[in-house]
Amino acid sequence: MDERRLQLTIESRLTNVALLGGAIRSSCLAVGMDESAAGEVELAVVEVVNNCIEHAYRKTDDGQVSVSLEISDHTLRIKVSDRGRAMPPEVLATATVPTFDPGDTAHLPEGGMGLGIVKQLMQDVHYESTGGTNVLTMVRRL
Amino acid sequence: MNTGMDIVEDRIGSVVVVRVKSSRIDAAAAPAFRLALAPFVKRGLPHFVLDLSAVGFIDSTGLGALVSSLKAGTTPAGVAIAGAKDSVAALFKLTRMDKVFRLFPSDSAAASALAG
Repeated sequence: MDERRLQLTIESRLTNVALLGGAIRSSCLAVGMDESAAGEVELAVVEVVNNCIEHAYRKTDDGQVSVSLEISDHTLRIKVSDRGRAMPPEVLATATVPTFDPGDTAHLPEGGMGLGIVKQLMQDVHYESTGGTNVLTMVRRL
Repeated sequence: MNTGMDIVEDRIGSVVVVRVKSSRIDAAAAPAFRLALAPFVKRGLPHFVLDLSAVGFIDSTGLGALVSSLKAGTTPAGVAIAGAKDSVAALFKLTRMDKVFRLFPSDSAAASALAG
Protein backbone atom coordinates (compact mmCIF):
# COMPACT_ATOMS: atom_id res chain seq x y z
CA MET A 1 0.00 0.00 0.00
CA ASP A 2 1.29 3.48 -0.87
CA GLU A 3 2.05 5.77 2.03
CA ARG A 4 -0.71 8.28 2.65
CA ARG A 5 -0.89 11.00 5.26
CA LEU A 6 -3.53 13.33 6.64
CA GLN A 7 -3.04 16.07 9.22
CA LEU A 8 -5.79 18.04 10.92
CA THR A 9 -5.79 20.63 13.68
CA ILE A 10 -8.72 21.91 15.76
CA GLU A 11 -9.10 24.48 18.49
CA SER A 12 -9.63 22.77 21.83
CA ARG A 13 -13.42 22.80 21.98
CA LEU A 14 -15.57 19.67 22.34
CA THR A 15 -17.89 20.94 19.60
CA ASN A 16 -14.97 20.65 17.15
CA VAL A 17 -14.33 16.98 17.85
CA ALA A 18 -17.11 15.74 15.56
CA LEU A 19 -15.35 17.46 12.65
CA LEU A 20 -12.18 15.53 13.36
CA GLY A 21 -14.01 12.28 13.95
CA GLY A 22 -15.91 12.52 10.69
CA ALA A 23 -12.74 13.29 8.72
CA ILE A 24 -10.89 10.36 10.28
CA ARG A 25 -13.75 7.97 9.59
CA SER A 26 -14.01 9.14 5.95
CA SER A 27 -10.27 8.80 5.47
CA CYS A 28 -10.33 5.24 6.81
CA LEU A 29 -13.14 4.34 4.42
CA ALA A 30 -11.28 5.99 1.54
CA VAL A 31 -8.29 3.69 1.99
CA GLY A 32 -10.45 0.57 2.02
CA MET A 33 -11.23 -0.06 5.67
CA ASP A 34 -14.73 -1.40 6.34
CA GLU A 35 -17.42 0.52 8.24
CA SER A 36 -16.79 -1.34 11.48
CA ALA A 37 -13.03 -0.73 11.47
CA ALA A 38 -13.44 2.91 10.43
CA GLY A 39 -15.92 3.40 13.27
CA GLU A 40 -13.48 1.90 15.77
CA VAL A 41 -10.69 4.20 14.62
CA GLU A 42 -13.01 7.21 14.86
CA LEU A 43 -13.97 6.19 18.40
CA ALA A 44 -10.34 5.80 19.47
CA VAL A 45 -9.36 9.20 18.06
CA VAL A 46 -12.38 10.92 19.61
CA GLU A 47 -11.62 9.42 23.04
CA VAL A 48 -8.02 10.66 22.91
CA VAL A 49 -8.94 14.13 21.63
CA ASN A 50 -11.64 14.44 24.32
CA ASN A 51 -8.94 13.70 26.90
CA CYS A 52 -6.70 16.41 25.44
CA ILE A 53 -9.47 18.99 25.72
CA GLU A 54 -10.78 17.91 29.12
CA HIS A 55 -7.51 17.12 30.89
CA ALA A 56 -4.54 18.63 29.04
CA TYR A 57 -6.32 21.93 28.36
CA ARG A 58 -8.85 21.62 31.22
CA LYS A 59 -11.65 22.64 28.86
CA THR A 60 -10.07 25.98 27.97
CA ASP A 61 -10.61 26.68 24.28
CA ASP A 62 -7.41 28.52 23.44
CA GLY A 63 -5.29 25.43 22.76
CA GLN A 64 -4.92 23.31 19.68
CA VAL A 65 -5.15 19.57 19.14
CA SER A 66 -3.52 18.06 16.06
CA VAL A 67 -4.15 14.62 14.63
CA SER A 68 -1.97 13.00 11.98
CA LEU A 69 -2.95 9.77 10.28
CA GLU A 70 -0.41 7.77 8.30
CA ILE A 71 -1.06 4.60 6.39
CA SER A 72 1.82 2.53 5.07
CA ASP A 73 2.84 -1.12 4.96
CA HIS A 74 -0.60 -2.24 6.09
CA THR A 75 -0.23 -0.20 9.26
CA LEU A 76 -2.32 2.71 10.45
CA ARG A 77 -0.43 5.10 12.71
CA ILE A 78 -2.26 7.99 14.37
CA LYS A 79 -0.61 10.69 16.45
CA VAL A 80 -2.64 13.06 18.62
CA SER A 81 -0.69 16.02 19.97
CA ASP A 82 -1.41 18.91 22.29
CA ARG A 83 0.58 21.50 24.23
CA GLY A 84 -1.40 21.38 27.46
CA ARG A 85 -0.74 19.71 30.78
CA ALA A 86 1.11 16.41 30.37
CA MET A 87 -0.57 13.17 31.38
CA PRO A 88 1.23 11.30 34.19
CA PRO A 89 2.78 8.12 32.69
CA GLU A 90 0.88 5.80 35.02
CA VAL A 91 -2.47 6.96 33.62
CA LEU A 92 -1.94 5.23 30.29
CA ALA A 93 -0.06 2.30 31.81
CA THR A 94 -2.90 1.43 34.17
CA ALA A 95 -5.85 2.37 31.94
CA THR A 96 -8.43 -0.40 31.52
CA VAL A 97 -12.13 -0.63 30.89
CA PRO A 98 -13.59 -0.60 34.40
CA THR A 99 -14.84 -3.84 35.87
CA PHE A 100 -18.17 -3.71 37.67
CA ASP A 101 -21.11 -5.74 38.88
CA PRO A 102 -23.88 -5.18 36.31
CA GLY A 103 -26.49 -5.66 39.02
CA ASP A 104 -25.01 -3.01 41.31
CA THR A 105 -26.66 0.02 39.73
CA ALA A 106 -25.37 2.54 42.24
CA HIS A 107 -21.75 1.77 41.39
CA LEU A 108 -21.89 1.55 37.62
CA PRO A 109 -19.01 3.53 36.08
CA GLU A 110 -19.89 6.81 34.38
CA GLY A 111 -16.43 7.77 33.21
CA GLY A 112 -12.79 6.80 33.17
CA MET A 113 -13.32 4.47 30.23
CA GLY A 114 -11.71 6.35 27.35
CA LEU A 115 -8.10 5.16 27.38
CA GLY A 116 -9.13 1.62 28.28
CA ILE A 117 -11.31 1.58 25.16
CA VAL A 118 -8.43 2.95 23.06
CA LYS A 119 -6.12 0.18 24.30
CA GLN A 120 -8.70 -2.42 23.27
CA LEU A 121 -9.08 -0.96 19.78
CA MET A 122 -5.41 -0.46 18.94
CA GLN A 123 -2.48 -2.87 18.84
CA ASP A 124 -0.06 -0.37 20.35
CA VAL A 125 -0.55 2.86 22.29
CA HIS A 126 2.24 5.00 23.69
CA TYR A 127 2.68 8.52 24.97
CA GLU A 128 5.53 11.01 25.08
CA SER A 129 5.80 14.49 26.49
CA THR A 130 8.80 16.45 25.22
CA GLY A 131 9.47 20.19 25.18
CA GLY A 132 5.91 21.03 26.12
CA THR A 133 4.35 18.92 23.39
CA ASN A 134 2.42 15.79 24.33
CA VAL A 135 1.99 13.09 21.70
CA LEU A 136 -0.11 9.97 22.03
CA THR A 137 0.59 7.47 19.24
CA MET A 138 -1.79 4.65 18.30
CA VAL A 139 -0.95 1.84 15.90
CA ARG A 140 -3.39 -0.53 14.27
CA ARG A 141 -2.52 -3.22 11.74
CA LEU A 142 -4.74 -3.30 8.65
CA MET B 1 -23.38 25.56 17.39
CA ASN B 2 -26.56 23.74 18.40
CA THR B 3 -25.68 20.87 20.69
CA GLY B 4 -29.29 20.29 21.76
CA MET B 5 -30.52 16.74 21.81
CA ASP B 6 -33.55 15.88 19.71
CA ILE B 7 -35.65 13.31 21.58
CA VAL B 8 -39.22 12.24 20.84
CA GLU B 9 -41.58 10.25 23.06
CA ASP B 10 -43.58 7.49 21.45
CA ARG B 11 -45.45 4.44 22.70
CA ILE B 12 -45.79 0.84 21.55
CA GLY B 13 -48.76 -0.63 23.38
CA SER B 14 -48.20 0.20 27.02
CA VAL B 15 -44.44 0.67 26.68
CA VAL B 16 -42.91 4.14 26.41
CA VAL B 17 -40.37 4.47 23.58
CA VAL B 18 -37.88 7.32 23.76
CA ARG B 19 -36.50 7.97 20.29
CA VAL B 20 -33.18 9.79 19.96
CA LYS B 21 -33.25 11.67 16.67
CA SER B 22 -29.75 13.14 16.92
CA SER B 23 -27.02 11.33 15.01
CA ARG B 24 -24.27 11.79 17.55
CA ILE B 25 -24.03 11.34 21.32
CA ASP B 26 -20.53 12.57 22.07
CA ALA B 27 -18.84 14.61 24.78
CA ALA B 28 -20.22 17.85 23.31
CA ALA B 29 -23.76 16.49 23.29
CA ALA B 30 -23.61 14.55 26.57
CA PRO B 31 -24.94 17.33 28.86
CA ALA B 32 -27.93 17.93 26.57
CA PHE B 33 -28.51 14.16 26.33
CA ARG B 34 -28.56 13.86 30.12
CA LEU B 35 -30.97 16.81 30.33
CA ALA B 36 -33.26 15.37 27.66
CA LEU B 37 -33.48 12.01 29.44
CA ALA B 38 -34.22 13.56 32.84
CA PRO B 39 -38.01 13.85 32.41
CA PHE B 40 -38.24 10.15 31.57
CA VAL B 41 -36.03 8.84 34.35
CA LYS B 42 -37.76 11.04 36.92
CA ARG B 43 -41.25 9.96 35.91
CA GLY B 44 -40.90 6.66 37.74
CA LEU B 45 -41.58 4.48 34.71
CA PRO B 46 -40.95 0.80 35.49
CA HIS B 47 -39.14 0.49 32.18
CA PHE B 48 -38.84 2.10 28.76
CA VAL B 49 -37.28 1.56 25.36
CA LEU B 50 -34.48 3.87 24.23
CA ASP B 51 -34.45 3.84 20.44
CA LEU B 52 -30.94 4.61 19.19
CA SER B 53 -31.53 3.64 15.56
CA ALA B 54 -30.80 7.18 14.32
CA VAL B 55 -27.53 7.42 16.26
CA GLY B 56 -24.41 6.81 14.19
CA PHE B 57 -21.81 7.55 16.83
CA ILE B 58 -21.55 7.41 20.61
CA ASP B 59 -18.41 7.87 22.70
CA SER B 60 -17.69 6.93 26.31
CA THR B 61 -18.85 10.33 27.57
CA GLY B 62 -22.19 9.86 25.84
CA LEU B 63 -22.48 6.38 27.29
CA GLY B 64 -21.52 7.75 30.71
CA ALA B 65 -24.31 10.32 30.42
CA LEU B 66 -26.78 7.50 29.76
CA VAL B 67 -25.54 5.56 32.78
CA SER B 68 -25.60 8.68 34.96
CA SER B 69 -29.12 9.61 33.90
CA LEU B 70 -30.55 6.20 34.51
CA LYS B 71 -28.89 5.78 37.88
CA ALA B 72 -30.91 8.82 38.93
CA GLY B 73 -34.24 7.16 38.25
CA THR B 74 -35.45 4.03 36.57
CA THR B 75 -32.99 1.21 37.09
CA PRO B 76 -30.82 0.55 34.02
CA ALA B 77 -32.10 -3.01 33.96
CA GLY B 78 -35.46 -1.57 33.04
CA VAL B 79 -34.16 0.18 29.96
CA ALA B 80 -34.03 -1.68 26.68
CA ILE B 81 -31.85 -0.29 23.89
CA ALA B 82 -33.41 -0.67 20.45
CA GLY B 83 -31.96 -0.53 16.96
CA ALA B 84 -28.37 0.29 17.86
CA LYS B 85 -26.16 0.30 14.78
CA ASP B 86 -23.11 -1.98 14.90
CA SER B 87 -20.76 0.87 15.81
CA VAL B 88 -23.02 1.93 18.70
CA ALA B 89 -23.60 -1.61 19.95
CA ALA B 90 -19.83 -2.16 19.81
CA LEU B 91 -19.25 0.45 22.52
CA PHE B 92 -21.78 -1.21 24.82
CA LYS B 93 -19.94 -4.50 24.32
CA LEU B 94 -16.44 -3.03 24.67
CA THR B 95 -17.39 -1.48 28.01
CA ARG B 96 -19.51 -4.49 29.07
CA MET B 97 -22.52 -2.20 29.36
CA ASP B 98 -24.39 -4.78 27.26
CA LYS B 99 -24.55 -6.70 30.57
CA VAL B 100 -26.45 -3.76 32.08
CA PHE B 101 -28.68 -2.64 29.20
CA ARG B 102 -30.47 -5.23 27.10
CA LEU B 103 -29.95 -4.61 23.38
CA PHE B 104 -32.66 -5.45 20.84
CA PRO B 105 -32.59 -5.17 17.05
CA SER B 106 -35.84 -3.18 16.86
CA ASP B 107 -38.19 -1.06 18.94
CA SER B 108 -40.95 -3.65 18.60
CA ALA B 109 -38.71 -6.47 19.85
CA ALA B 110 -37.62 -4.34 22.80
CA ALA B 111 -41.19 -3.32 23.64
CA SER B 112 -42.36 -6.93 23.46
CA ALA B 113 -39.61 -8.01 25.85
CA LEU B 114 -40.50 -5.29 28.35
CA ALA B 115 -44.26 -5.83 28.07
CA GLY B 116 -43.90 -9.60 28.47
